[in-house]
Amino acid sequence: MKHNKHSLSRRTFVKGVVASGAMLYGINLNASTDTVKKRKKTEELSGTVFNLSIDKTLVNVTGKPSYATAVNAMLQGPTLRWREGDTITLHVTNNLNESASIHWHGIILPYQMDGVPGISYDGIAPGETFTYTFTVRQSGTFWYHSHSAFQEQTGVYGAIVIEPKEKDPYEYDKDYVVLLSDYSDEKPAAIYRKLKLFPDYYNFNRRTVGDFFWEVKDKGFVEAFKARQMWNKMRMSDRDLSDVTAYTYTFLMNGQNPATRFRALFQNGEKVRLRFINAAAMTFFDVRIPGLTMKVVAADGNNIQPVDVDEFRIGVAETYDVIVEPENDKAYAIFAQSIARKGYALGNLSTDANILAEVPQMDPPQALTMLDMGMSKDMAQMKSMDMAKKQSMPSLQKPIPLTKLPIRWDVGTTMRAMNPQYRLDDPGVGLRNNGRKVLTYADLRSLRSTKEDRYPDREIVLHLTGNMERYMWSINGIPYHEAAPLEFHYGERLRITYINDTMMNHPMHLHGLWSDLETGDENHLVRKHTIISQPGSKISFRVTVDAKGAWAYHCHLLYHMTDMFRKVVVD
Amino acid sequence: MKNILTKLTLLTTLATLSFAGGGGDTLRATFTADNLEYQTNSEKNLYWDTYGYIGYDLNKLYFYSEGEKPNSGDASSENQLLYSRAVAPFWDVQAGISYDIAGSNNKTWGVLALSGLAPYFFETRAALLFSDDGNIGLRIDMEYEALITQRLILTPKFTLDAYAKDAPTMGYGSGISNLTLGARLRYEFRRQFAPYVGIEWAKNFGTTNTYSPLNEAYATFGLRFWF
Ligand SMILES: [Cu+2]
Repeated sequence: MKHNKHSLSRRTFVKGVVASGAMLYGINLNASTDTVKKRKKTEELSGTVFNLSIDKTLVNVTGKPSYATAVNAMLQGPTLRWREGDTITLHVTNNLNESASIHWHGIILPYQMDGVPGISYDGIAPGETFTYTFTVRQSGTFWYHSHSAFQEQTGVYGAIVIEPKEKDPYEYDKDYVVLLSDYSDEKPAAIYRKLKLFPDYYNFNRRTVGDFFWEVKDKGFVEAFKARQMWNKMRMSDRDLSDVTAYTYTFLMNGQNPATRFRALFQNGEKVRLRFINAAAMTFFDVRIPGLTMKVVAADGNNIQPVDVDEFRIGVAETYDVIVEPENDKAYAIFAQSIARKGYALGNLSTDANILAEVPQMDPPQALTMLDMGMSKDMAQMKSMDMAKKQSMPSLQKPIPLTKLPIRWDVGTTMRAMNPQYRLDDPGVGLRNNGRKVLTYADLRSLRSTKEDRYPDREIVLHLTGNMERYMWSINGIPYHEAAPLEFHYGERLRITYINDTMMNHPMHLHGLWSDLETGDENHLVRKHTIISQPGSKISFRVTVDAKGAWAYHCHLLYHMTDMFRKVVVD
Repeated sequence: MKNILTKLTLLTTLATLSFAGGGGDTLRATFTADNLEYQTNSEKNLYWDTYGYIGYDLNKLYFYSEGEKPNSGDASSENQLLYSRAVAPFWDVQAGISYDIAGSNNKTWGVLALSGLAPYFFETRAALLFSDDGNIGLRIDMEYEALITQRLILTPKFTLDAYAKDAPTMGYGSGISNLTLGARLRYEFRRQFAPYVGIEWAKNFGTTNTYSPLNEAYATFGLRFWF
């Protein structure tokens, strides 16, 4: 345990080390015009009427001043506390000189209030105010973010906490939002351009000649060559974990970089609820609190049967609520390492804000396997997982009709998963066999019974596709601008299966309708708004089509979003 | 130049701003100087190998310029302007013209090329050239990137030129005219900026070798950059 000391400076690859607390909230900039605001401390707002503005805001996240697009000049934006059953009115004013929007992520509402430009409304023009109003029909942890251009990465996001009408089934004394995000001083359009020109631009974990020689030493030339052969023939990298990394991102926890460190306080004997939200543009985080077991009690805002874990992966746009019982007078690191293992977001849980926990070591990055390429070959190697897998392998009791969708295998697709498997109990690359109890989707069981839920009427299969060499993304090989909307029928119960024909995790988000994930337990399908589709895998969920209108449906990675996207029309 | 390119990209992004997300198939322009170097051969050449494009995911307008300027003597270069279309996940077909310069002489070709990433990560380009005097040319370039570290990169390079007929004014003759094998070791201070050292062996064959005899190994020093 260290006392009020930053022990980070030797890790130069962790950005945001130099920014001091003083720099965070106020600096002078010569070029200040009245349309630029200065960063304010993130506040919590509650009630039923909210005034929000989106402003160009001067911040210093990395040690250098830069402009964020912040809500109420707060990075992150204000935490909104609502009450289930209340009718909420939100006046959102756009003070940017470009169109803006706010989407209420995971909130079930009329589609006109969903906040997606080009689908549910026109967006909010510069200088204009849009008023959202809807009745809150759910409770739990959610969030909001911009759905315009790349504003999300530059700061338009914040947490939503909805208090339940009836008392929550779980006991806790303190309640903190822990929102994770990634911030860059580079303009998002510049990042996107670099990815288009050179998809490996931010990847400093590529295979080296040395890696190959180590393998030769390890298993001989022929075996080492064979191990590489498939990847080399397919022109794919098994080290391609994240498109954008800590090379440009500073990872934030509640708007604080690892040096200033978010600090949550508890008093001796208290149980603490932590509401984790991944509001990053492009970053998956693996979260743990060394020394503490986390009791996961909610996923994507919905209560689940509690499950004790040491670690969990949180995909972009997912939320998990955990309850921890810290020991008296101790300090704990809330440690969220990026999937690429080049940086982390950091928080501190202690009885005294001046007592800082030791920062854990990051794990070494793991490479993708044949399993992640959707090859069956590695199934033998994964034998240890096989038994559990069989139990959690979702299967339909009786067959349902499959609705065929247009599909295209051409220049936009470099890979096909030849044998995609349900991998619900696979924690994913980087978390396999790490000696810790890691949450998987197979562990998620809804608290409510889904026994009486309707059996699906039909199924659609969506292939998540891409060409990493050209940095193109699509669904069924067809990019959004060439795709017809998906037609869902009001009143039906739909089964959707993803087959991931890429090497990346895609956090898929369906707006406006709940996604009941098949985890193997028919009686406790878990209700989510964002579902990670692992590379080379298959996963299924069910949707009760109970809301008319036009909805967005997309991968939540910011730079995959426009093309790996569908408009959904419910009629 | 860099600013213009970035602005151009930003401008085309604006067109999609009201859309449900940023990005999409944005117009982009880029320039790469793969090689800009001094060669320690008997000619003391300044050598360049550059390309650039403007375009979208599948359709692009490319230019290529490769050439050398001996310490004493005139520059010679091969310059191509091509429309490039993606035809397969890793491959583009390109068509356009080549304008070759050798001192005060020049020659124009029609070009049909295949460019892309071959299995085992070989960056490959094969161009067929057709001239109105009935000559046909073939130029093949292959390159591989071996990472010594994340920033120290060794690039072996293979170049082969061949022609159907002699073109005495341009200095190349029928058959395989030239073979160049090289390897360059660069250090990427940034992705866009990497100085390098290299060695190369170049040999002329057949009639080309009678026009200008060449069989030489030499060192190179140069810079790779792009924006
Ligand atoms: Cu994606």
